[in-house]
Amino acid sequence: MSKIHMVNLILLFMVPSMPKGNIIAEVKTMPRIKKIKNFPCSKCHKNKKRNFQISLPLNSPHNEIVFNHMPSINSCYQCHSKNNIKGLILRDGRKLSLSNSNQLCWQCHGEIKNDWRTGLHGKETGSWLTTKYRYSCIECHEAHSPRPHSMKAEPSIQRPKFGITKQEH
Amino acid sequence: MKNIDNDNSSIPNELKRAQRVEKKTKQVLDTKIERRGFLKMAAAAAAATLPAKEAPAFFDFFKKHYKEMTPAEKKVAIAKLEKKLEKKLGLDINVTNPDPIDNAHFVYGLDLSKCNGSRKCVTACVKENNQGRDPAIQYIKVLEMDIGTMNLEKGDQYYNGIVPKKGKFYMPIQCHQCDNPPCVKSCPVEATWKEKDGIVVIDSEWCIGCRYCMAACPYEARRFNYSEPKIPKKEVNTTQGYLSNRVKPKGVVEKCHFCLHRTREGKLPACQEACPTGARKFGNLNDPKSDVAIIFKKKRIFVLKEELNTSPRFFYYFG
Amino acid sequence: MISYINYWINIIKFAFIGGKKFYLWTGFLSVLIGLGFAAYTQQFQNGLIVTNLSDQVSWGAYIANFTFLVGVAAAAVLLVVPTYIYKRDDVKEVVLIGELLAISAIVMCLLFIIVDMGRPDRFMHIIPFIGRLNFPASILAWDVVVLNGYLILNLHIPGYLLYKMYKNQNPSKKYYMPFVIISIFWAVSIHTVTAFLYSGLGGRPYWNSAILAPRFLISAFASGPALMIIIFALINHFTNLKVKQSVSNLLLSILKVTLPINMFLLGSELFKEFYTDSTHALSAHYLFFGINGHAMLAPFIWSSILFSFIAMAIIFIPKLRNNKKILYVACVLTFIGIWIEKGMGLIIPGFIPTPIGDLVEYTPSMIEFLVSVGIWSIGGLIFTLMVKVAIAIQTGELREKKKTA
Repeated sequence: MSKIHMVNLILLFMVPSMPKGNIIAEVKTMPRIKKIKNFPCSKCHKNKKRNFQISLPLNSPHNEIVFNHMPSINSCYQCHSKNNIKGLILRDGRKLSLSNSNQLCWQCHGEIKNDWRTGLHGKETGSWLTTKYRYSCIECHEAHSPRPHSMKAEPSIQRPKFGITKQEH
Repeated sequence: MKNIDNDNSSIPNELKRAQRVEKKTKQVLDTKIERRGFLKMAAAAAAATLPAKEAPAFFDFFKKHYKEMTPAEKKVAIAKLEKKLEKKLGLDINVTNPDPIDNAHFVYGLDLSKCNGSRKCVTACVKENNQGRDPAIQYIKVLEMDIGTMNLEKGDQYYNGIVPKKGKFYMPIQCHQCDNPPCVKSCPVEATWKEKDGIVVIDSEWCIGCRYCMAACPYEARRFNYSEPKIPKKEVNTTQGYLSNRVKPKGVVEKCHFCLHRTREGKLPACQEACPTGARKFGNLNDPKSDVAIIFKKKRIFVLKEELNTSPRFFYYFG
Repeated sequence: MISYINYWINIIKFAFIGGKKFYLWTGFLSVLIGLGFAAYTQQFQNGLIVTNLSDQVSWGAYIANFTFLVGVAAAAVLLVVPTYIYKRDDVKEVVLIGELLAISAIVMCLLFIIVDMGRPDRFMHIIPFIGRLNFPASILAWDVVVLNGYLILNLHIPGYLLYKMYKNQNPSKKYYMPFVIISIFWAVSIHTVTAFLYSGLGGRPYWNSAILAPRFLISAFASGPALMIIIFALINHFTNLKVKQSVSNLLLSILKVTLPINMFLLGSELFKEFYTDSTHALSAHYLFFGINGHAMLAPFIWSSILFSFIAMAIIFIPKLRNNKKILYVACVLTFIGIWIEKGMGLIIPGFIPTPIGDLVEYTPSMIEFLVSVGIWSIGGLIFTLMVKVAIAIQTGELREKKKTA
């Protein structure tokens, strides 16, 4: 059995120089823009030229947004484009579509950018064999309050009849 | 999906959205990788041509071991099982038996710094793999551990409520598909063995239920059907792998098999797809661009109970 | 051939005909067997759910009894060696009884294995060539081979000797001596393999100990003689065969050695566990002191140790051991003590805690208890009937009638 173990080790070191003919999956970013179709911005924002304030109007549905990200950000328009409601804006002024929101995040989170690109960070669905879809940042991290949320755990399996409870530490 | 949407309002909207998208992608992919139709046709054709289909139960008694079957005999066995399951469950069952993929080296990585202990993987696994609901059988055990210890004996697998809890981390444990599996060594009838792609499988048609493998497994990965598994008819997954998620009879052992009926068709395991945090990484180590291969290289990984020399294919890391 | 069939008819007839006490005893056993069978029907229909076994504690009373009985079977060698190697005539008179005890014990072992199986209907799969025995990788496959081999050996040797005796012929040495020699080694092997069953599992630190096989053998050589002393006393009381005192003395002197060694080995094991005090000591800790106030096994293991010490005291104090009644008490205590130590004290704690630290206790359910009692009764019944025939043949009561020329 140690032979298999050896093979594993060898494989491990051979990985970068694996010859052709191996199965190599393609990775795609999960498209994002389509999802916004359900809640089109233009539904409310008909007047595209309106000059938005820093603070939102009282009855705006965006009021529910809790901003808990970088303290130095004090205006929506540091990320959202002022003129194009569907667009984002980078720090250097370049415009960005909502589908490429990752770029916006990577301005600060460079380390995660590398991890995400290599697949170390981020959830994937699809096929390991053909095409994998990698979730973009905001699928899991709500952009305005990006800390992972807590959730209710699925109920645990029933403790067996004679199970012993462990002491609380 | 339905129950996830219903039962908890505490799930943030992003996650709900993510789940919806996931469902959509799944649907798209399912249609792409559809091979079942072909398989079923082949099985039916084989069953029609070979008279052994009509063999009485007496020959069931002297049936052949899976590894001794020719491909044609396997098809007959699959057709037979399909019939048996259809009779038992009263549903249209599709028994598949995908062959191991050459040149694939399945490994599973789990990021302990991301896992939040939500047990979404457990629920998805139970649904996908037709585990009995009462008494409940779950392949995955999630240990809630105190930060500062790696002693599994201090873990608690019966936690409930809002997760992640303060001062805790979560460690899911399932079959590690060892390369030096103590369970395979121990089975007296070779009802469990390691396949070419590294997955340790159990033939539920051959297992005698002695439970020696359960005593031998250092990861407590094996479960026993103490009674006939009870599954609500609506929840039965009708696509059932011969060596994987078929509805088990009473008195046999079962365990995680990396969803081989999915993974061998290119899909990802159900637990990986259900994970809300992206802590689970499944892939082919032979693919240098796969995430698992890169994690192997870049991260410091560890396996459980390395001192037992079981060489697991399931590793943990801190991302 | 006809005479062979007649032989069987005669011995079966003889086996089932007896006095009032005989019917009372066999009737009592049959009732217990009936209860056990009824309980097993429940288990067969509903699955092992009727037991108290769980995924955490996946082996229980059945395997514990199995392990203990392998020891009883192996102990027959303690009569075989003096008889055939040292040619002791006094032991020769009872060696057949020892071998028949081994047969009954092995039959019980096999029954315990079968009732423990989730799919007894698939027993064909363990039979070589018909099924697929995972030999030599699986120690359980080894166990199947050695147990069945030992059963066959022990069926052959007394079977052959009794038949020859029945026919008033002298047995030919070449038909049984080679098997006797094999059976001596085989007896050691059955218990060694059974110990390896547990000690070969790296995932269970409580079992994964090199000392396990010696412990098993020594405890078998303590419980075996203790049982045999009692059986011989009963035979002296109820049958025409008068077992010589020297046989009991021989067994007693064996007990004098094995019982202290058994305690010594147990002590060594406990020293390792408790002095090292690693996390692996949790099983031993549970066994003796319990965890979080849950100590289902502690009363049993402490009484087992108490029994062993009382038995030792009786055996080593001449005044006490010379009183036969007290000696029998010592034997019963030894037997029960080792049964507890090996069954509850060795098998169950191996599962507590589980390899990933789950804590689930175990105690047999009513059905397990009844099935176990039923199997012990089957063993007792088989043994009674076989010994009845064997003694009758040995004492000349049951022989082929000589044809008058």
